[in-house]
Amino acid sequence: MRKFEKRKYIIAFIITLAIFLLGFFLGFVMDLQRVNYFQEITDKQKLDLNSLQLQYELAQEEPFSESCGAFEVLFQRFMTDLEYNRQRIDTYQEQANIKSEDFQNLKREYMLSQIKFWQISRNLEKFCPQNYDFVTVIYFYSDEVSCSDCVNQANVLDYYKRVLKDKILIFSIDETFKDRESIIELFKATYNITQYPTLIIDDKVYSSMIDKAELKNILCSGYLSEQEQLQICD
Amino acid sequence: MLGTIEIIQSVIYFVSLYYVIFWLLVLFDVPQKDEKRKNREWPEISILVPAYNEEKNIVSTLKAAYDLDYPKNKVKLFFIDDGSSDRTLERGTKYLNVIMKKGEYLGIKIITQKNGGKYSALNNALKYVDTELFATLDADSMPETDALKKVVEKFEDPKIGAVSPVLKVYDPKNYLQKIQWFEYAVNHFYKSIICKLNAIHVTPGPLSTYRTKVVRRVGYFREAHKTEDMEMAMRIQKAHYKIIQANDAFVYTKAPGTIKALYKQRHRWNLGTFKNLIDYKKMMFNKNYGDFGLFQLPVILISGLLGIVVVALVANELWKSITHKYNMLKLFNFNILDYLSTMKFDIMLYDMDLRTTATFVIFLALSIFVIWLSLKVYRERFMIKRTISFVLYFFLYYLFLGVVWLGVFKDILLGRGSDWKK
Repeated sequence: MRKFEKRKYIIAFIITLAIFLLGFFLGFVMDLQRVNYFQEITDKQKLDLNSLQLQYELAQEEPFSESCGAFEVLFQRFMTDLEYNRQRIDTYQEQANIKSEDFQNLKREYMLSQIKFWQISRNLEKFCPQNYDFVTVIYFYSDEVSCSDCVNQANVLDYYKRVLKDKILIFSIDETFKDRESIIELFKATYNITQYPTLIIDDKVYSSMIDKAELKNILCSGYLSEQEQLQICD
Repeated sequence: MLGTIEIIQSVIYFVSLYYVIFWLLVLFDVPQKDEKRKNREWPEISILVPAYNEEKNIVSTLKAAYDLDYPKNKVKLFFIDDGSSDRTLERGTKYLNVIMKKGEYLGIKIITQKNGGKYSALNNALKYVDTELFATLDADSMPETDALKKVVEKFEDPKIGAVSPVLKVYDPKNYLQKIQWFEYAVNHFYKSIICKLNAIHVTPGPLSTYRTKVVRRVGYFREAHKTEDMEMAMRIQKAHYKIIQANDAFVYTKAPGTIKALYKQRHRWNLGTFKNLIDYKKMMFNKNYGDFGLFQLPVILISGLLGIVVVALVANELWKSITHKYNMLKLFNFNILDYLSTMKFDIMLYDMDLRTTATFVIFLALSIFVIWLSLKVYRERFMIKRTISFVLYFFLYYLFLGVVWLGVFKDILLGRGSDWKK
């Protein structure tokens, strides 16, 4: 029978555990910082969105009716940031150890902002066609189990977003979020969405995976000016 | 919340970190007993050199044995040709005939046999061994001249059954060999730690030295899945003898120079290790064998399993990343410049994945610390020219070992053994 000294095994365990707990604590601090950071951005975006909404409403009344171009700065900022930040929150939520619930709420706020922005952008397109010639796409996606094509569809959309930049507005809506946000059910019922991926492009529903070539044709028909059409349709 | 993959990752991090911290605690906690034979005559020793198709190396190995700084009138030299099909026997015999004429050795014996494997060659020679100690010397290894004395002087305590030297990669030329140079350095450091716990589980072929009566008591070498050196160490441990590493006795060994050769070597070692663990499973988690049974044997098994899991996780991440990039490039008709021109590089501090980053930083820091300690014990210095080898060793080598373990477990599940030449 040989000697077996428990002490060093226990000390090693305690040190390892301490390092791990320190890691969890740092993770918690990091999550907290991320939530705070995004909360600030979200609050600012809410203000911007309200401003945009108000400007749009004013533009429909005298003496503001000739001021389509005035929206441009805010509108551009929204287009660049909204989807990008939503993706970031998605990533942070996946990495979050402790503050997952806070990220879910942030995601919900972003989703609502997106939908509100979509609503404004639709109206702007009609109200100021000379200033705003873009195609709006609402992309309904789900998890990998329910939607094996969603990854490919996201890639195709990502491709067109990279190529067309601000000439395409993509609003991504996570179907698995429907229990948290009832507006998703409203969209599903309105557009009769039963499978994923589903794209709503300028109010028309496409309920299957749309490949690069097919999407190009759909997008091409969505632009009003010949100049925009020429950019991708050749 | 943590998903399955994150939980697996956390378990791997925890277990790996625990091992490293435990080893460092042992290193700094348990004082090194450095008992050496003092003021005594050098004991008689037999040096066994088994060889199979080693025509390129046999003369240099026998010459290295001849050059050992040890009283030759205390040495019996055995050259065993294990049925080589090349000119190993001819070259070895020619060299030994010249040595024999000098009459310096206590004895020189050339043994020939049908190819039966290294273990049978050693056992064949052991029939004639009548010295207090015997050492084995693989035909692809060269000891430093003072190595045998350094090993023998460790046989102070009668409970010591075997002493193994420190292995170094001989003349590493390509990056694969340079990476193995680091691996051998770290292995040596690791063995010097587990030596303090009397938990060494292998006495490698190059110049491991045994107390003859201990081997006779525990039984001769066995085929042991082509890893007779490990199996012998297990039996010595089972009989509660000690196995010591002589930290200042250096032996150079040739490391495989190609991935294929390295994979085959490690596959054989790991397959043998696993099968020996199965054969000696009663020692595992058995408190009668102290740290050896409760820690070292489980560690060997767990490292193999961890290696496989790490490879699976890395492969999964790589696959996801590569398929995503491939699909995106396909959309860009494989025009890489177009693709790159549309990429966004807006990275924030918050984008950092803390779990991955912290793990990476902790393990990198620990690895650098362990390498530093290893080189200190190894009596080597870290040279700038070795940086690339270290980076490759840190990032890729353990993945490679994981792949080897994957191959081993695949073969075990398919019921395949080692297809090695005896």
